[in-house]
Amino acid sequence: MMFRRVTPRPAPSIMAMALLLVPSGASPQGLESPAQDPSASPENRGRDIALEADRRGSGYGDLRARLTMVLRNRHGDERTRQMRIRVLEGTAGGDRTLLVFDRPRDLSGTALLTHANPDGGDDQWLYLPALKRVKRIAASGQSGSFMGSEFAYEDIGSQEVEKYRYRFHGEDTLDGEHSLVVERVPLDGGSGYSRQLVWFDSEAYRVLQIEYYDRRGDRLKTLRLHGYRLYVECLWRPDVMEMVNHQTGKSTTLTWEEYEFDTGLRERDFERGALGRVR
Amino acid sequence: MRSLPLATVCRPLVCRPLVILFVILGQLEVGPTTVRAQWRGELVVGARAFQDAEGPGGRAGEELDLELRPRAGIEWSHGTQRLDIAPFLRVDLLGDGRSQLDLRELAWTGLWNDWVVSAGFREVFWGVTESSNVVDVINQRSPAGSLDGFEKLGQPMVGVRLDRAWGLVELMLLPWFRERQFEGRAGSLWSPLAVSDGATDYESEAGRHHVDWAVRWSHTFGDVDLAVAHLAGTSREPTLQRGASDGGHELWIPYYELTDVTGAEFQWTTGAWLWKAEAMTRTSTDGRYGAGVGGLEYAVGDFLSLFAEFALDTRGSDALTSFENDAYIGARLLFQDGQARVGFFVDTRSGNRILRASFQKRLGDRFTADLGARWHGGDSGAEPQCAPWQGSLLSFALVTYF
Repeated sequence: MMFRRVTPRPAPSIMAMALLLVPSGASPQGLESPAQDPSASPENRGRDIALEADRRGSGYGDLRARLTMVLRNRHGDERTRQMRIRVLEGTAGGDRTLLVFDRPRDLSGTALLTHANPDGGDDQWLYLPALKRVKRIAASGQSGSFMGSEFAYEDIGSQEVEKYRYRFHGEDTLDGEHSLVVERVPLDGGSGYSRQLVWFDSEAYRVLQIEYYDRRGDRLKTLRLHGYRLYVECLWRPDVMEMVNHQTGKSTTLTWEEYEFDTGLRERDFERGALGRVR
Repeated sequence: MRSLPLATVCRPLVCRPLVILFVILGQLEVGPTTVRAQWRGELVVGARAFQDAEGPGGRAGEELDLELRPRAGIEWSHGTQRLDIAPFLRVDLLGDGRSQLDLRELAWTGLWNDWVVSAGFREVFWGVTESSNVVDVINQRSPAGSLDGFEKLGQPMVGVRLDRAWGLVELMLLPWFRERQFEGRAGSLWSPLAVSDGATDYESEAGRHHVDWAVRWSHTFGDVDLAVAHLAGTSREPTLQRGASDGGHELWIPYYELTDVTGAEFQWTTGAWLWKAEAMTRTSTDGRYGAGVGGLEYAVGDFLSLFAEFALDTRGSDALTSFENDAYIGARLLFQDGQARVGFFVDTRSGNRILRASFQKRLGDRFTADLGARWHGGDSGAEPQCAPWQGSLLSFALVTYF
């Protein structure tokens, strides 16, 4: 199994939707991992669990998928966004992500290209098909909302192990699955959170749930991940991600479909000049 | 009725891009299993009311039209070959002669390693600034009733593009020139004379068949985006010369001179601040002149952008644009169901002011409604050439997406 690069990346990268929430491998060696050692200190055990989950997220090269985002306000009114996503992982310059919108229809063909820089700060370009215009735009701050949803960029950005301080919080049973709960505290002052609680299942180290606490320490949001399926023999991916904001009553559901891995995408498919060819 | 020889209907220079296109297409192996096609389009019902209906030149006070903008893409050979087709149809429902059928795009594109080759009618955008784009010189642009007053016409071309670590280089051959259209309000200046809709003069003896060329290099250095471009050939922007019609009436005759236009673009994206500038210099029969736009954008999250820019044109009030010494401030607000924009121009010399505002809202999955307003204050006669883009107006459009 390949190890994932662990590069420090202070800024968020939308890239990530791919690396989404620490995809976990299906390694059978769960019980032998240091993450299961109950004699370790809570800090070490929490960090070991995060490292194990990260280790199992393998280098998949590239992926393509369809993504449906449903935004719901507190009255239950829904708005739907549909997009296609392409991700290229682990190039020398950092991860590359291309999002192409299909719905709403007036945005159809609009594309967002993100180059995640290992040394911090993303580069983003927007392609406006009606004008054939490629526009360099200001990359959103990590605590900003991703396309008006309840997801912040940092929620969908690559969740590098080094970005947090960990502490093992306890064991729990979530939807019948035995889970390890880890508290993590973002190290970057630009984060919108004071801490997060992450539920990993104790076998495959898949993220089942995350609770987000705002800067004042109040519970802000809960993310649930459902419908995990195994791809290319070692990658677990959730079909559905549901984020509920407890303070506003709004929620966002992300549904993933038609995952494809190692489709032969290359760096040139993620260059600024390729934006005009996106359909 | 005598039949026209093909050579008359389809002059060699006109057909050159198409011939090249079909020759290239003929070389390709098309695997039936790998062809992918997709299409979409828009149907627009647009209405505009102008405040200056009684002005000189017999301008119409209202415009009402139907626009159809289908768009299709066909891909084959694993996406390395594609054909894009985007016709444009406007039906002028009030019969002011603004009906139009145009090919905005009919282009084949092929990819070979780092090379991208294309042939056909294409639209190209160059530039970085918000208020206007002085370096955007490849396509002919016709004044239209929209708020910012331009629509681009497809430019026949053969293009080669190379994407390398040191930048993106594009080379274009432009074998056929498209004239600016002066139908409807576009033809009425702040002048009692009309613009000729038939007679046109060219500096080149080849007229519209003069083969132009253009080259552009662009690159990203971290936070900085740079581009340099050059166009040699027929100026897209005509000068208007006094002439007479066959019947002896005085009118304006568009004159297209040969020119060399060199442009540069700069953008520095640092956090929420985006510093932008673009400038060009070109030769003309009146000597070399230059124009530029520069300023900044401030992004509040990804939903609000604020703009402040200044535009200069060394021709001053002789410029064919209203952006000769103009300050601009503007804002764009995105919200869940649409967007709103507002922009304010002040000409620091003539004192002319233009306020533009637009509001677009989604209605369900298939419709958007666009509401627009433009207010023009000051002495309109100070910039006679700019009439099509001045004047106060209200506009409404209902767009159906299919």
